[in-house]
Amino acid sequence: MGESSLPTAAQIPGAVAALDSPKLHGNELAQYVAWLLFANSDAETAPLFDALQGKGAMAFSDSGKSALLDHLLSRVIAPQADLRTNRSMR
Amino acid sequence: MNRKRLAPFACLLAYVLGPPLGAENRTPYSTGVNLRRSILLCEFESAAVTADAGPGQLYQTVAARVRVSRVLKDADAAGLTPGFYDVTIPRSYHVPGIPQYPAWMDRDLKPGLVYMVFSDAKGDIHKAIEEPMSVELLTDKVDTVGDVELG
Repeated sequence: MGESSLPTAAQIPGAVAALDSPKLHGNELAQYVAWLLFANSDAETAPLFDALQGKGAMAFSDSGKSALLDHLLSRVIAPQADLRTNRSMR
Repeated sequence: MNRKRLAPFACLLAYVLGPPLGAENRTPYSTGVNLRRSILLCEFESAAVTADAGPGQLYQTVAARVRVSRVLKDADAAGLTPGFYDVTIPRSYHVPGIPQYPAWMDRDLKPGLVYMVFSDAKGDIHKAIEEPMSVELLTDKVDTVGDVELG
């Protein structure tokens, strides 16, 4: 809520810093991170992407990891499935 | 975000991080810090089942005394305030045709447990606690409050 008043790209450093903190994170940050990844360009999300490829992915609790995967996969796979469905219906 | 770029990343995360999708212990994720009208920190002081579901009784009801220790969000400026509240929580089961209040379903309501409560009830803190959109059990290991304050 503290960052939500900022433009989405400006919220990325805060999320990266959170992933670098020693505490584990849960579902809320997972959803927030997934949203930031899809709401911004590749160039803008590069630091967040890099953090997730490093130890940032381990900054989530087990349920947080599941939530992150769910949010990412639902946005990656669901549109493709919709596309396939639409194509097959033609 | 480029979906082509993210697809292998998500697959890699799925492989490395586990548990697999569909695992029974998967916690339902939040419905969104920004979407919900109110977010409360609630500690159960006491809870007792007052009625079990059965013929003529659609819901199990739990009478509980809850201490709201913080109001993290009050989007409607409804004056939600910390304090002690006596609530009656309806816990329904999957019965077709009746309204479902799934947030508290299967949740442990033992005294001392603290939940983050995400609600859309406007101005009525009792309703916000009794029929929230989702709840999340807080633990010492996960910085849920910090996550909400950030997002």
